[in-house]
Amino acid sequence: MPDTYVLGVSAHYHDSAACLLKNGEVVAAAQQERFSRKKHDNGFPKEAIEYCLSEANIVPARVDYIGFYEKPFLKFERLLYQMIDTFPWSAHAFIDSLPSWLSEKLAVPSTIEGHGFKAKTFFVEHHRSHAAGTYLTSPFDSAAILTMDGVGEWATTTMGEGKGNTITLSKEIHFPHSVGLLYSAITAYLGFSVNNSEYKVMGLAPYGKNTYQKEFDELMQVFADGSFALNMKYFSFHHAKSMFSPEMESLFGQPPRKKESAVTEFHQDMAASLQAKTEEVILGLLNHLHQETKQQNVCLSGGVALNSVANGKILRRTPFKRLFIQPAAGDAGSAMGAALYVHNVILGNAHRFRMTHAYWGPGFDDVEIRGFLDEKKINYQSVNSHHALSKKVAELVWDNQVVGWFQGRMEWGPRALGARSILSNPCNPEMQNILNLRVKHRERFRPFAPVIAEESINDWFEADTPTPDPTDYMLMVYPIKKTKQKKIPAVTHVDGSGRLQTVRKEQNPNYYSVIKEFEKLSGVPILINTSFNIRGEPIVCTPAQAYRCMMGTGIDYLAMGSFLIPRKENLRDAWDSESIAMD
Amino acid sequence: MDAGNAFKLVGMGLPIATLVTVMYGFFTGTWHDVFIYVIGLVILTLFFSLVLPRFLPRAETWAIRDGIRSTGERINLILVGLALMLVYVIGVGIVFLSTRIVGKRFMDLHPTHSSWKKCSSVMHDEEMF
Repeated sequence: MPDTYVLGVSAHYHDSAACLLKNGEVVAAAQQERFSRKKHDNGFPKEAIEYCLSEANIVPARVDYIGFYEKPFLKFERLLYQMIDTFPWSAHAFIDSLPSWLSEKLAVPSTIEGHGFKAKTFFVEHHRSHAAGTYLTSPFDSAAILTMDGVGEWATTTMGEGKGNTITLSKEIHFPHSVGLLYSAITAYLGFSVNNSEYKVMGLAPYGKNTYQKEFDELMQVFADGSFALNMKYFSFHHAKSMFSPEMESLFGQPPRKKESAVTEFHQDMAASLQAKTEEVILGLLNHLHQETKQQNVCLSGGVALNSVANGKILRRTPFKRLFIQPAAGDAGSAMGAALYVHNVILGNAHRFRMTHAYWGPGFDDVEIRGFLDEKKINYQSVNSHHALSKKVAELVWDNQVVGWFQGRMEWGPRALGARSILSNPCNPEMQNILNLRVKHRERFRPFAPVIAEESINDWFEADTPTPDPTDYMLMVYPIKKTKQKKIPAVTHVDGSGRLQTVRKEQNPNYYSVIKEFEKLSGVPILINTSFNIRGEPIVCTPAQAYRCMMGTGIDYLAMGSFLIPRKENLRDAWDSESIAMD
Repeated sequence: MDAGNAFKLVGMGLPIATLVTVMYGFFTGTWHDVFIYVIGLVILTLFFSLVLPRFLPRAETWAIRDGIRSTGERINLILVGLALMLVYVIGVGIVFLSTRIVGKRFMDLHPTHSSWKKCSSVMHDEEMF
C-alpha cells in the first residue's frame, strides 16, 4: 500500500508553520520564522513546507491531503460582523485589514495550488486544530480537552473530550470574551509587544502582589459555570488597533507604560494581579471540565496553555491526574493539529501518533558542519566522541564559560530544549548578569530557566508526581526546594520557582550526558538552558546562523556536532549584534 | 543632503508633478493647454528612470526608482483607502442601520449568567473554506 502524506499548514495570523505526516507519523515540523529569520513570521510558510517535504524526500504533488488550521471565510465573516456591530468606530480597522484579507487570507486555496500541490485541502476550525494538536499527540486513549487563545474564527475557548481517534467539542466561548486577549491587552498596557512578550509579563508577576484583584474582577467577570465575560468598556480590540480603551487608565489610576521606560511596583503588581486572574479562570474552567467529562486525563492547547506558571498548579488544584500539552501549544502547533485532525478524525485512521520529544526540525550532520567550517576557514577542534564532547562542555560550563549548544534536529515550538540552546553554570550567582550583559541583553527581571535530568526532579523541585510530560517542553513552573535554592541562584526566580525542562537519556543522549558530567563536577544535575538567538531574532536554525550568533555576542564556545569552536580563536569574525537588535 | 536623497526627491516629485498637472488641466478645463506639460513630465520621468541609469552610478539610479515607487505606493494607498472608506460607509453603514432597526447584534457583549455556547455544528464540513 502506498504511503499517505498529510501536510498541515498554519499561516497569516502569527507564527506560520508546517508539519508533514507520513502514514500518521510526524516526519517533520518547523516554524517559518526559523527560515525567514523574521520573528513570528505570519507569511505563507513556503520555506517551512519545503523543508518538511525535503525531509520526506517528496515533491509537492506527492502530498495526498492538506489540513489548513482555520476556516478563513468563517473568520472573515466574524470580522465583518464585528465591524458592523462597532460601526463607525471600526472604520480604521476596516480600511487597515481588508486589503490583506482580499489579497492573501481569502486566497489560501489558490496560494496552495500555486505552490504545486494537487492535494485535497481541508479547512479545520481553529480550535479543533488546537484540540487535535494536543490530544492527538498525547499518550492518552481518552482525555478531556481545553483550548484557550486570543480568538480563532469565533471561539476563544472550547472544551470537549477526545476518545480514541475522535474529538468532540461540546461548548465554546465566543469573541470578544477571551483570556488570551485579556492577557495581551494588559501586556500592551505594560508597554510590551502583543503576541510576542506575554511570557515577559508572566516572568514579571512574581515581583508584585495581587493588589488589583478588584480592578481585574471589574475587567473580567467569572461565572459559576466556569465561563467568563470581559467588560468591554475597558477594551477596544474589537474595533480598533489599540487593545484597551481610555477607561482602563481611569480604572487603574496610572497611564500605560511607555516601551523601554522603567518597570515600577505598579507594573509588577499589575502583572501579578493579571496572573492571579488568569489562573482563577484557567482552574475554574478545568474544574468545570472535570465535572462535565469525569476524565482523569486532560489536554491543553492554545496560546494561553503556554502560561507555564498556571500549568504548574493544575494537577494540585483540579481533580485531574495527568496532563499533556504539546511543545508548540500556540498557533504554530495547530499546523500539526490540522494534519493530525485530517489523518485521524476526517480520514478515520485509528493509528495514533504519540509525541515523545520535540526534535522535528532540520538537523545537520558532521559532514555538513565540517564543510561549513572549512569553507569559512573557521578555527575549530574536532572531538572524537559525543561523550568526550559532553565532558568537555560540562567542564567549560563549570568554568563559567557560556557555551552555544547546536546538536541534532531543531526543536518544534517556542522553547530551546537542548538542540539550539545556550548552556551555562546555574551555580554562579553572577551568571544571570553575565548572560544578560554579554549575550542576551534582556530585561533584568527576566529569569533564566533550568534543565534537569528527570530522575533528579523531586530532589530539587516541589514537582507533581509522576513527572508530567509537559516538563519535557519547559511548560511547567514549580517551586525549587528551599534547601536547594542557594545552590542554583542563577535559575531561581525571585519567588523561588523555576520553569524547568526535564531530560531523559533516551530523548536526547548527548544533552543528558552534559548534565550528568556537570553533576560529577558540581554535584548539581542542572544547567542554565536559554535560547540560542540574537536579541530580536528567532532561534538559530543552521550552522551559519549559530556561528554568526556566537560571534555577535559574548558566547565563549560553540559545540556543534562533533566540533568545538572557540570564539577567541576566530575574533576576525566578531561583530556587535546589539547594534542591529530589534526587540 | 546627499546625492542619493536628492535623486530620491526627484523620483518622488516627478509623478506628483505629473498628477498635479493633469488634475489642474482637468478641473480648470485647460487640459489641451497643459497636455504638452504632462507629456514633458512623463518623458522626464521615463528619462530619469530608464535612460539615466545607464550612465549614473548604481546608488543614485536606485534612489530615483525608489522615489518613483514610493510615490506610486502612496497614491495607491490613498486611492485604496478612499475606495474602502466608501465601501465601509455605504456597505457596512447600511447593514449597521438595518441591524439596529431590527435590534440584532452579532456579538454578545453582556452575557449575564454564562457565556458558554454550544459548539457550532454547521461548519463540521471540513472541506468548506
